[in-house]
Formats: sequence, C-alpha cells, structure tokens
Amino acid sequence: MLLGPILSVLLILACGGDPLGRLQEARRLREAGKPEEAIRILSDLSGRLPKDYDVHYELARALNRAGRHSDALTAISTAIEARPSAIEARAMRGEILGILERDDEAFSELRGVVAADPGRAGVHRVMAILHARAGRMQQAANQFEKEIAVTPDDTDTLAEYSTFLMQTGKVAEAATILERAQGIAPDSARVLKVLAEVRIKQGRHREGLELQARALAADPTDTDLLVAHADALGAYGRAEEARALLQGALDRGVRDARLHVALSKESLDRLETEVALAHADQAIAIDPASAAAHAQRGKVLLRLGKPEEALADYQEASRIDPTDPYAYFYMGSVVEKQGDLEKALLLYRQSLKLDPYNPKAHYASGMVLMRLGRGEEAREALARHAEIMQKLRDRKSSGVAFAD
Amino acid sequence: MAAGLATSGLAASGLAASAGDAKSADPGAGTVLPRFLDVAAEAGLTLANISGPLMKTTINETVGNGVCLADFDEDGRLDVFLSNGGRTGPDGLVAPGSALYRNLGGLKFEDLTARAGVAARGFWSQGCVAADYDGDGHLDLFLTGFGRYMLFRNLGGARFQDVTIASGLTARGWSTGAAFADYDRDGRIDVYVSHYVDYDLSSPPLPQPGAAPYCFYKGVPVICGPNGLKMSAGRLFRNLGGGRFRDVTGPAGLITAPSGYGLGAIWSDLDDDGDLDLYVANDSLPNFLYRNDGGRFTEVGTISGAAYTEDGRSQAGMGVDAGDYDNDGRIDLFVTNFTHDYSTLRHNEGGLFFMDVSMASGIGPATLPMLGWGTGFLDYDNDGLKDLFLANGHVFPSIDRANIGTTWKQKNQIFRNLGGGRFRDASGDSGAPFQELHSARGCAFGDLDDDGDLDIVVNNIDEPPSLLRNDGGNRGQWIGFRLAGKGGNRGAIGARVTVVAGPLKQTDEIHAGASHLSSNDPRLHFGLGTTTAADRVEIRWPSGRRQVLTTLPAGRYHLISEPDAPVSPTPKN
Repeated sequence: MLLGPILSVLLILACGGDPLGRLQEARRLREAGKPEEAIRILSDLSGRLPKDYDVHYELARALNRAGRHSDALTAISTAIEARPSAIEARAMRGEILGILERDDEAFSELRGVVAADPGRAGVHRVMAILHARAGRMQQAANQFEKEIAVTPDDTDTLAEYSTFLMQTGKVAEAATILERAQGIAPDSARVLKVLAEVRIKQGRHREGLELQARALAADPTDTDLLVAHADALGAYGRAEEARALLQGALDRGVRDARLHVALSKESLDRLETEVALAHADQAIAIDPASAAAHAQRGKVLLRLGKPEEALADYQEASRIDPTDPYAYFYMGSVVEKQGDLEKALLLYRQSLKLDPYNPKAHYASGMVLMRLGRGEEAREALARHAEIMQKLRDRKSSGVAFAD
Repeated sequence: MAAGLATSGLAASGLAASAGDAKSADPGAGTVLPRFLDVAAEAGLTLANISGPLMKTTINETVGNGVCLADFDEDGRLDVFLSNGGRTGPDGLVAPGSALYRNLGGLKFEDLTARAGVAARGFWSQGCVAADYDGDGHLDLFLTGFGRYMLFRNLGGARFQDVTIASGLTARGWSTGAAFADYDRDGRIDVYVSHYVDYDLSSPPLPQPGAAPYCFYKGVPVICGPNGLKMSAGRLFRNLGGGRFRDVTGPAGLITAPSGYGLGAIWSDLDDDGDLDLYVANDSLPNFLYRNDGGRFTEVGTISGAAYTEDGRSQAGMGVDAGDYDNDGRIDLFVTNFTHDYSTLRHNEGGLFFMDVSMASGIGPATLPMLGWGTGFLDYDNDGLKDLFLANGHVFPSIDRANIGTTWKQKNQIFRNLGGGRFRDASGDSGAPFQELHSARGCAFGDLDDDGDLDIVVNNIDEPPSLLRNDGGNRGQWIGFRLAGKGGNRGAIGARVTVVAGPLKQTDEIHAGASHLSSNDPRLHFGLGTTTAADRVEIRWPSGRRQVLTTLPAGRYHLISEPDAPVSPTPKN
C-alpha cells in the first residue's frame, strides 16, 4: 500500500526538489502577481502528485488569478475530488462557476457552502455579485448585508457593497457605509478610492480629488486609480495636472498601456489628434491585447476621418473583448458608411444586446431601419433613443453633478 | 424662348455688372483661388458691436448680432444693416443702436441710420431679416432681440417707420433667428421667429459662472446655460394682409411647449413638394424639422435624420443654411455647432431623409476646434459648386486660460467644395482675413460690389464688422437673378431656380433669413465655371407657376418678373 507514495516522493526528490518548498514558492509567486510562473511550477507538481489536494487547490488559485478560469475549474474540481470535505475549495468552485457565468451551478455550490459553514466569509459576497449581474438588485443587496453580518469589519466587502449601491443610484447610502469603513481602516486605498468616486458623484469634487490623491499615496501601484484620478482632474478643469500625473508615471518608467490610453483620451480632448494617435499606438505596442487601446485608436482614427482604418481597430477590440458594446456600435457605423446596411443593423443590435441603454446604437439602428424602408421598427428604435436621451437630460438637470 | 422672359431689368438700367468690371477677370486661371480682403474700415462699415461687458458673465452677452444685406433704397446696390446689442449697468440698459449703411458704389458706404430711422436705440437687438412683408416693393426690416420684436416698414427710399405694435408682431422673451416665407401659399409672406432661453431684460438675473452644476465646461466655471435655463418655443406669425400678423404657432401644428433653445431658422422646400418646410437649429437640444403639408406642420426632425448627429447626439446648433451643395437637385442642410464637436452637413437623400456626412465630407474634422455661428453655402470661386463659410468665435472669454485646444477669438473658415461630396478647408489660401482672430457671430453673403462674386459681411462681437471683399471669384463665369414676384410676395421668397449651363445643373432657392441672425443678398448667384451662358433656367415661383428661360448670357444679374400666365398646379413629386 505505501510503496506507491514512497516511490512518488522519491521520484519528486530525484527530479525537482522538495514539493512543499515548491508549493510555497508557487504561492509566493502568485501573491507577487506572477501567476503564470506559479502555474508552471504547480503544473509540474500536479503531474507528479495527481491526487494532492494542496497542489491542485493552489493551482486553481493561480489559474484563476491568471484569468484561465476554465482550467481553474478543472483544477479545483480535482482538488475537491481529493478532499470532498474542503469547504474553501467548494467556495472557490462556486466563485469560478460564477465567473464562467454558470450561475445555477454556482449558486448550488455556494448554498452548499453556506449550509456547511454559515459563518464563512466571502460566500455571500460572491452570491451578491451573481445576483447583481443578473439584475436581481434586491437579492444582491440582501447577500451583501449577510456578508457584512458575517464580516462586519471587512473593509473590502464594505467598499464593494458601496460600489454596488453607487451603481444602483444609492449614492448617499454608499457614502454612509464608506464613512464607516474609513473609520475602521482610515488609510485603506480601496476605501479611499471608492469614497472618492462617491464624493465626485455627490458633487463634492474637491473632496473627491483629495481622496483620490490619498488613495494613490496609499497605493501608488494602482494604475487604474491613477488613470481615474487623472480623468477626474481633467474633468474638473485641471487638465494640466492630469497630463502631468500621467506623464509622471511614464517618466518613472511605468510601462502600462492604460497610461497611454488615458493620455490619448486627454490629447483628444485638447484636439491634439496626432498626439492622441501616437499614444494609442504606444498603448497597442505595449499591450497588443488591450481592447481599450484598440478602441481608443479607432476613436482617434474616426476623428481623423479615417473610418476604414478605425474599423480594423474596432474589430480587434471586439475580438479581444466581445463584451464591449461600443466596439460593435462603431463597427456598425463604418459598415453603414460602406453601404452594408443589413450588416450594420446586426452590429448595432449586437451593441444593444450588450448595452440596452446605449442611445447611440438605438438611434443608428433607427436610421438604418429607415433607410431599409422598415419604418415601424425605425420608429420604435428612435422612440427608445428619445426616451433614453430624455432620461439623460433629466439626470443632468436634476442637480446630479457633471463636469460638462 | 419661353414666354415671359424678362431679362431687361437690371442690365437695361445699368445696374448689372459684367464679370471683370471691377477687377481683372481671368477665366482661364481656374486653379487660382480667390482671396478675400477685409475692407470694412475703408468702406465705412464702422459700427462697434456691443454685447455686454468684454468679460462675459451671462449667456445673453454671448450670442452676438446679425447682418442683413438688401437694397433698401432701391438704387440697385446692396446696403448693409448691422444689428447691435447693449450692456446693462447701474443705470439700466445702454443700447446705442443698430446701423444701416447705404452702398454708394465702389464699396463705399455712408451711415444712413439716423435718416432711415432704424437705430432702435435702447433695444438690445439680436438678429435682422430684410423682407417686403407688405408687398409694396420696398424691403422692410424685422429685428429680433430682448423683450420684443421690431418691424420697420420701408416707406420708400430707405425711410422706415416702426410699425411693430400695429403689425401684431408682439412677444416677450428672447428672440433670435427669424425667417420669412409664404408657408400657406396665400400670396403673403409669413414669419417664423426662434426663441432661445426664456429670458429677457425684465427677467430675474441669470446665474453667474460656476453658480450651478450646469455652469461648467470641461471643469472650468463658465457662463451658465442654455442647459439648465428655461427653454422657449419659437413662434409662427401668419401674414393676414393689411400689415397685420397673427400668431398661428399652435394652430399650424408647431410646437408650443417650451422645448427648445432656438437660434437659426430657415424655410426651404426640403421634400420638393412645392411648399416650404421649416428647419430650426436648437442649441444643446435636437433640431426641429417641420414638414409642411399644405400649411399644416409636423415635426419630423428625428425620423428625418435632421435632429441629431449620426450617432444620435444633439448638438449646440447655432447658424443654419440650406443649399444644394452636390447639385443633385435636392436642398441639403448645414448647421454650425460648438467646439469639440463638428459643424454638421446633412445630405438630402430624398423623401425628407438626411444623412450626416460631416466627417466624410472633410468638414467635420476641420470644425472641431471651432465654435461656429454664421454660415452659408456660397460659390465663392464661381466653379458651379457651392462652398461653405463659417464665422467662428467662442462664447467664453475665459476659455483662453483653460488650455483645451480652443480660444475665445477664432479664425473664420472657408471650405472649398471639391466635388464628390468632399470639402477642403481653404482658409489658408484665401487671404489675410482668414488668419485674423475675432469672436465672429452673424454673417451674410452678397455681391456688394456687383462684380459677379460673393462678398461676406461679418458682425464681430465687441468689434467693428468685417467686410470680406472677394477678389478673383469672378475669374469664373457667373449668372445672377433677381426675381420679382406677383402679389404680396414681391421678393419671390421661396422661389426655386434651376440653372443648366453646359455640364452643370444647379438648384437654389430665395431665402429671407438664414445663417446666424442674418439675411443674405436676395438675388441668387450661380457660378458657371467656364460656361458663358445658362442654357436653361427653370423657375418655380412661390405661387406654383413654372417658367423656363433659355440661353441667358452669363456675367450679369437678370431681373425676372413672374409671368401672368394662368396658375398651373404644382406637380407633386
């Protein structure tokens, strides 16, 4: 009976050293943001220890971190086979199923976890996200509340719940929760970041900008935050500072496509179209797989009156990120100019499938339908466009702060 | 020869000018572009515009004023009326008045304001339209502005009488663009008046920059509005005859609820069905297109593609014009807009449907840094293709400090029509005026020196006007028409003229009210390229009568009178 494992260990030691040490090294690499390197080690280990729970669990985490969710699901399932009672693995499986949009299976798994361990942190949060994604806002809010009941001082959950509330228009409630979170962790970059967003939405933009700056000081590596801060500075008349902030990051040697995308947008706002194009080009050079960079280049090219070239970028953007509604919209716009009305209509409709509130796509599909002689359908699309435009105008005039 | 030919008119009375009378003509040098020269000061057009204080703080100080070109004294030469604003101070409103300049010939003008009685001192005017509303053969003058309209009846010889109250043209609020036309084809010209923000000088003060969320532009505190301020509704007045008008906005089917910030307005037969449709540019809101069905209107802006950009955005519509830039026989639309957005060229596809072709035409990218106001289709190089002029200038003097790619004073632009739906910004090749910086507003087009090419008068905010003399436009051949209609519509407003000359077939209409707060030379001007005669000229008179003339020589303005032939029904297309 013992001969097999003994032989395995001997084989491992002969071929690659201490498995525990390798496992710990892989964990460190994942935590350091190098999941691919961790995966290489863990794949090797899993081949040698095919029934080892820890190896497969850690492999699933690394794969998940690397965005390879299907592979992560296989790994976590193998881990669960190795140890069916492992609650953390089942919780992770539920989360991965959710990411893969297999919501029913995800809920089933997560409910099982809650039944086995009602006080387990993180499970209600995942369920809340799944509900929110499906548009079940009340259930989502309930799950967030349950999560907070389990972990009342988890500022990450508080920040996430606040983000959710903000997105559902409950800005004041989000602010209250964040103020509490700030009391728990005054220097949490995440809390400061979300609170900044809330303050900007509340029209307290000076405070918002200050909070963003503090969040950035707490986590200078957060490029998303840096870009958001630059964006807010630009929107509130501090375009020079915005540009300096972004340029400063580049000067410090940060090589990140998002910075160039932001600089491209900022240059386009100043009507410096060629500079905007150069930044979009650089963004793509750094990260050819950045959908945002391609979409931005497409936008600049449209501004330059080069729709054919823009089309290629939007096609690439939608290939990389098939969930971007605007890529489909602009592809439709170019295709329509090329005279293929039916194809344009399909693209507009694809855009609307992804974002039913996109007024541009409603309008453009209405115009194409008119050209196709389908007046009734056109009127419906245009009525929807008018309805959304009215709502946007109402929001503007209802005192919600806006920069322009 | 068709019956009713009346080519004597101007030529016989010595008022026509052959191409090259005033300047050298070189029809062979087709590739040399005309150049413009600002001769306003030496010509005597010196009225200093006043639009509030130099550093604007409220929106009423930013819209500027218009220009009207018309032969008010009937001496055959085009005179210039410049409307003017004012400023409010501790002692109330100071509005020193508008000015009428009589054209003495040779591009010299004398100030005729006092004698003519059209200064309208104390009235903060906005726009003007010249139109013979009472059909007595004299061009009258209608002014828009704050708190009221003004109608000046021309008694003859450019002596005017204020007949506003008697005319029934009364309104409060802030009126801007206006346009006359016989919408109901009863033989009398009616008037539509755009209204902008619901405000006049008796209203509570407007909020100051940065006072509300809608008082920011790209984060910079700026003048508030129009978004956030009260909307208005434009008004249509039917001419009852006897010098009286009645407000028929609602009964005629126009929108009466305050739902727009109206500026430019123009009448044009956009669906080519014989009656005149109405297009109104709205600032920050969708434009209106009113389809005229025998005197009843339906707003069809959205469904016709004339309300929004190609991606469904409403724009800050300012000035408008209607013209057939691609010579397909259908009248297209142009609207000037805000900076960081493009001015919009809409191609008439037929069936009252328009396509936004701004970007493809080349106009879109070139107008992004500009805030456009006055505008017009004009064939400035007489090549038979209508070009475009834009008078530009920002609304926020403080924008200079924002470093966002635009400025308070801007260059005007002229776009040369290259054919095939493409335009090129030819401002760099068109003379010093296109390098100068002004905050320009209204502008009007006309052959002020009767030399066969189109000159431009621009009303600049807080400055004297510009008179852009066209030098060299008449290297190409041209033909002009002054139409004399019958009955109440003596100016034949709304008449449609189609000129066939060699390979060229062009269409145009007579408008009274276009651009921004302005009205153009009521004569029609067509460039003919190298062709020395119009082979065929077809006129569709506002009455519905059709007239065909053949083989008309180029190089002069032809006075054509409406024939007495029995009225024939207008064929529906």
